[in-house]
Amino acid sequence: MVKPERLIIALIFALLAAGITLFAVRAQTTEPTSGISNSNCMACHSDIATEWQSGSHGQSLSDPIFAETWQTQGQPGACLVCHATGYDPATGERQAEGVVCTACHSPIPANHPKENMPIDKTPDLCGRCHSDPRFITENWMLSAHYKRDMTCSVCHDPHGAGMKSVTDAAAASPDASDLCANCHKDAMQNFPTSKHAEAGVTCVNCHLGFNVGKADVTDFVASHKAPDHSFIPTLDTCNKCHASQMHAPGAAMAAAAIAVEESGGTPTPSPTPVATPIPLVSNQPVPVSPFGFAGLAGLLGLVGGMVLSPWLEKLYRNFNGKEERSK
Amino acid sequence: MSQPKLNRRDFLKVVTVGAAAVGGAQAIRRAAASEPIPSGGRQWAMVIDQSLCNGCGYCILACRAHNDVPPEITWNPVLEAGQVAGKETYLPRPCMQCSHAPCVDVCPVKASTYRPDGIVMMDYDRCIGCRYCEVACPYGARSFNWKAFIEPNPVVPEWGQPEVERRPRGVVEKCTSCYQRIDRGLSLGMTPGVDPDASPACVVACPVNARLFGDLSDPNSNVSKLLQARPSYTLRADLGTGPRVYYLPAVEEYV
Repeated sequence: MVKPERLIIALIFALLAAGITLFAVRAQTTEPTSGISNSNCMACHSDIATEWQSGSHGQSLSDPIFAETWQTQGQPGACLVCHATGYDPATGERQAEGVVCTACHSPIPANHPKENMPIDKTPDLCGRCHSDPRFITENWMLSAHYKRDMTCSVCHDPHGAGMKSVTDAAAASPDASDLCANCHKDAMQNFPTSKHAEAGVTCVNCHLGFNVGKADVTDFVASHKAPDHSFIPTLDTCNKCHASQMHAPGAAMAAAAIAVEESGGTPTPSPTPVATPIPLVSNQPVPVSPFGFAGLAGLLGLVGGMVLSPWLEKLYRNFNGKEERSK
Repeated sequence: MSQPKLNRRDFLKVVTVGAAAVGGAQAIRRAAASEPIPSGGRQWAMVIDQSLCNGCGYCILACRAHNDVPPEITWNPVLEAGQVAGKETYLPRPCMQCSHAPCVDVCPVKASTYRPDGIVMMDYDRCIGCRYCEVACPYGARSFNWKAFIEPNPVVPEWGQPEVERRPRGVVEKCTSCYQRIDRGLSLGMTPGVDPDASPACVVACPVNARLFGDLSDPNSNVSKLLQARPSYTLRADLGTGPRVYYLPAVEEYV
């Protein structure tokens, strides 16, 4: 049977240890705050965060080309509707810099880890920003992909804002053509033996108009110009390479094309390299709550108190004994 | 005393009859307990439309990410299934979630069990790694963990976030129809097969909607309606395993 006073001593030790630990741990961990903050999401979704940060959604406001153009144009608020999150034209205030998590995943459910963050996977969500006539939508509606109810995220990685990858990085082609070949297997039975393939032409060169020449990205309009997402090559597409061999639509165009060719020709711009995100999986355990640490410390304190209490009692008795004796 | 004395013969009779009665009751109870499909309740089924599937393999990648499957294991391969009308067809092969699963029958430690909703579940803590089930499965749906998976999963986070724990070395694993997504979805009031968050990852990932998931016990569910409207088949129906994955064949008119 444990003496009650020993138990009390042990409990005092336990409480003391638990309290100190709780205080120490609380001081280290920042309390999650409500409201829009990407750091909240990144605490758990670190793998997505790295992808996002290096992608164009993460860079939408800090991108040097955007920043410079925005400054020279007198910081128009209209840009921030898409380049920032939660921009209010009335007050000119924005909730967050760049296209952050809540720009697409909103509203945050109160019981989030249990309930998923909401996401609208239809092109409507992407279309809130990527809907300008310069920017895909009209052409996209013409495509067979759209008619088959395919969504943007079938090919695009929404977090990294690059292309998805279906093959090993080593075997991947330098552009997104791997992604085409993944589904269009029938077309790929003949294509590798074609003259186009021999010349190094890939799917996106014709079907996304990459050989048409994506203009300099520093140009304001061109930087918003996405490749033709109808995926339908036109006669124009052919003429970009074969103008001298074919009847171009209209002499002016042919002349222009020939002039370009004679002046040395425009080199086929290399398509923007797909940033293959390095998948990161943290094998670190889930962070223990401060109460977990405090509980452990409390337990240790309890044990320590139980062990120490006989000694304390002995000390106390010795001390009292001495006092009595001295009296 | 007037009390009749129980002689040895009578005593033995009583004991024998009693033991037989208890044993019989036990046998009946056990037979009732091993009845694979309890009456009522939801019965999950998957319908795969082979005329839509183009073999892109997004389902494989989504499955690996959401279930944290190591790269050397595939729960849900997409097999080539010959040509129909000059077009290549494919046969995705998840776990069939059989009504009379050979893997459950052969498991010596009852690590494979039926859930009331028909999903054949693995208890990785019970599994002793004897691999009988792997041999018994006529569909080759089971894989053995030869080594512990400690590397980062190469398909995370691009294709999804892991939702279940990694399996230890030395146990058999297989497709679970993403029971974790179904259960969480149901607890949040969602309908598996309709709400993407409550449906298996492969169903959600399919870019051409070749996979459907739903409740077979509900005649108005998407799967029931589709199975009524179009001819379907199951794999190795002759074995009597009662698969819950139905295939809509790639017939010429739909390809």
